[in-house]
Amino acid sequence: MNLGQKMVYSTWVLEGSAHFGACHQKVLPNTAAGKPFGVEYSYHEKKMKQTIFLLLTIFVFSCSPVGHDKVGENNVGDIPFDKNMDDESFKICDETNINQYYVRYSADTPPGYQGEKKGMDKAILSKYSFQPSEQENGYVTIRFVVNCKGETGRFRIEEMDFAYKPRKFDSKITNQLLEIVKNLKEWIPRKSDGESLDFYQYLTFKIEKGQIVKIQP
Amino acid sequence: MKKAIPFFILFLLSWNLYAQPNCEIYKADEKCYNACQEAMRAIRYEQGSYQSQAHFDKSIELCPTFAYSYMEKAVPYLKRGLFVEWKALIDKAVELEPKEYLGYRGWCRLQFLRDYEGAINDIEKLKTLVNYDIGYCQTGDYHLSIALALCYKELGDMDKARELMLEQLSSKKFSAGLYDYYHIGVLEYEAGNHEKALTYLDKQLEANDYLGETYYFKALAHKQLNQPEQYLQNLKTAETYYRSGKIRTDPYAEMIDKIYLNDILEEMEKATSKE
Repeated sequence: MNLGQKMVYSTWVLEGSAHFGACHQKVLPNTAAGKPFGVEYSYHEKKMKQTIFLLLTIFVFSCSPVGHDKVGENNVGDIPFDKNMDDESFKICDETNINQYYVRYSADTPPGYQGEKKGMDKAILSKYSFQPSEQENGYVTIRFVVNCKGETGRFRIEEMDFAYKPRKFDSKITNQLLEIVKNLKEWIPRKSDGESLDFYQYLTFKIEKGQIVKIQP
Repeated sequence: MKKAIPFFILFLLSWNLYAQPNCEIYKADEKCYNACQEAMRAIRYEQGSYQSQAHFDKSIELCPTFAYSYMEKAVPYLKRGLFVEWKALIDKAVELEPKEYLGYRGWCRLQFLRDYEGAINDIEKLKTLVNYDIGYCQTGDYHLSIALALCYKELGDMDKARELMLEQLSSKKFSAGLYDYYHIGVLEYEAGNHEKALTYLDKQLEANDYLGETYYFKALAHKQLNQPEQYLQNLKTAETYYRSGKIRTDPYAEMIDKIYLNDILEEMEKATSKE
């Protein structure tokens, strides 16, 4: 377990993971209580040992750290690899330990962007261009992963109107935003004890009449 | 590392622990009591995890009128940029318990989406529903009246924003928050009232001298008042503060009236090139 994982576990515990606490009082097989090496076991003893071993195995596996036992879209906001959408050359450094951008420990170096958000906003706004249009209003959110090298991949888009209902923007807007976000190259990964970690990030564009009026978060 | 724990707990408390319901009050209704217990099981897991969401689903299934579970189930969607999903759930919580969740939804709309009109509607609606103090935003940084004022300010209605802020700040039952005078100082600066801006920014320093941002706006006000020495001095202080981490930060979203190091440095370049 690396330090980054420990920190995330701390988050879970503090977010109320009594489940985690209980599970980590793992009951390990008491080997010292077994028969000495070379002693034969009876059939019933063997069956009992097998049963205990099976039960312990089930218990230990059922108590895997919360969130790490299932990789995929099980947790809100997870972005698993999709061969139909994603670039295979984009590598996640640790698939089991991708944190949200806001998860941080005070001793960590938080993730960010060179030049802070102002620098990122500038990079986006300098490239975006769309003719004013009365119909293009709402939000475009692009979610993605920043890996431990600061590279990005696994982009997903959600579009909604100002009533928070799904809608489709002109594809020139969404395609353009996607390309711009893909070309943001100065992400700073979160660091924990000197080790760079992957993280999930999203960018939300508030669009009024086809123009970006705010970039969040 | 141990020293960091209290800080971290405070950070988590700010967004993760909405007041937990007292399940005992649902004892007369077995299904809703069980739904409450199920919600308590849900919050033992990592927020947004499969297990946690599954318990909230169960809770909602048991008692479809149990608002807390809709609200809590919605939170990870909000934090992770899935706003369509968030809104559908939080709307249900608001529908069931408007007095409890209108202010919260309004604050989230402001902070995460800069949905000023939506936030105004929610907070104004809450004001019509209760005859008690409407309370604070989820992070505790602002009274909801100040948050409301910030919405009007961002929409350019400076008069309404000023009126709301002053009304709140003059309330006998209210003590100014950590950033209230900063925002009214910025408001007056943006409205072109530079002397007033300085008055409020100085009040901010008296209340909380921990923000490079305050000195930045002081510098800008002095610049407008043609006071070059104070302009430069405040910029230098702003930079020192900024570089030492004395700035506004929020792990989830940019705060209103946030400024960055490059803002200070660009202004510093202008200031020094004039010398």
